[in-house]
Amino acid sequence: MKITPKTKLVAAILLIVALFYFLNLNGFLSPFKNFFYSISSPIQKNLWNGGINVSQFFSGILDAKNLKKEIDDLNVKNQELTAQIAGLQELKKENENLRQALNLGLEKEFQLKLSYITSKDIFEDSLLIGSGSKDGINKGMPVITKEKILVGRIGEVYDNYSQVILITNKKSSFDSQISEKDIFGVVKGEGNAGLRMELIPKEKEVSPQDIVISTTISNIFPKGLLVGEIKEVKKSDLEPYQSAEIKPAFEFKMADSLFVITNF
Amino acid sequence: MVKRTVFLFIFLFFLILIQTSFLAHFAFKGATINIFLFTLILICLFSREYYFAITSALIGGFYLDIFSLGKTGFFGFYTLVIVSLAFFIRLVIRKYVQFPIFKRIQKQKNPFSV
Repeated sequence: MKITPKTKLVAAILLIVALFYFLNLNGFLSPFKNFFYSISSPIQKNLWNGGINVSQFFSGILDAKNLKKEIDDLNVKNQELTAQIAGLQELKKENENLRQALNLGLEKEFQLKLSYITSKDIFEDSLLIGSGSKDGINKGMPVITKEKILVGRIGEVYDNYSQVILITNKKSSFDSQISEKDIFGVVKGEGNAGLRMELIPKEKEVSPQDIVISTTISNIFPKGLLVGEIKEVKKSDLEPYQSAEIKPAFEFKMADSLFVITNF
Repeated sequence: MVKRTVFLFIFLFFLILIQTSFLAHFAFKGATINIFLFTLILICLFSREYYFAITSALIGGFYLDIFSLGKTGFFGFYTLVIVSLAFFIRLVIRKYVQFPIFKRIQKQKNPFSV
């Protein structure tokens, strides 16, 4: 029987599909991907740092004209925060005294694992970090920056690498609160670095520049991690709840390392 | 042919590393220019040989499956999509496009036709 090119093609396609099916079924995918990430991560780490430097250089040039306004705004904010710190220091003393009086231990700190970013997914909001199951990383663990800004949670875990599903990813959804206000809602990722707070009761007053933090209601993330700042509030008479667009506090473009909370 | 396949493997490997680690920092409103996909489409459009176009689509799709972190959950999804796209592009060029630049491709015989 003569084997025609068409038969060869069909056979090749069937072979490839079978190979993929085999990889998907038998748990070979994780070590397979881990192997590729091990080869590429030294190059990717350098490229990631190079990307940060180059993008910072260009953003510096592009933002030069807004710099004066930004400095003025920051000065005003700095003064406000200094005033707030003075007030909070008094509260801190009072809190310490109360803890001593009630014989309470200090609040348990998080157990953190430092990890470096190696790459970002092409099609969705997720990152690859250089820590995996061998470093004690598990699926669902929260990921933050050193400034305690919420980044996301661990998705797929490989031996030496893990996927971080960013809070801006369409798969991400968690409970949140507007800081210093008794307003709760659900923050949902919209993809392409977009974030929205939904299910905010209509009677509550939400305004731009309000700070959004995480809560422990659904036990996904620890309490009090910074999520972002309210950018725009959307209220409609037709909808039972109001929603708000959030400017995420985390910018992966400027970050090279993250912390995985292994216990909270 | 083996040399060119090895070259494709290495070239596309570095291209996807640049795409995922370097160009990720140049996002505008969360979106980045996808030079990897763009290059694959250009290869499919302008490569002289049918095999070269399909092989590059196969390798490119494979790298996309490795370095995209599970949008569909099925490994091999991007390979199948990109290879199908490559077949489609070559078919459209050969049968329906009349631009002089594609004449060279149109003259070629499809190795898979009987």
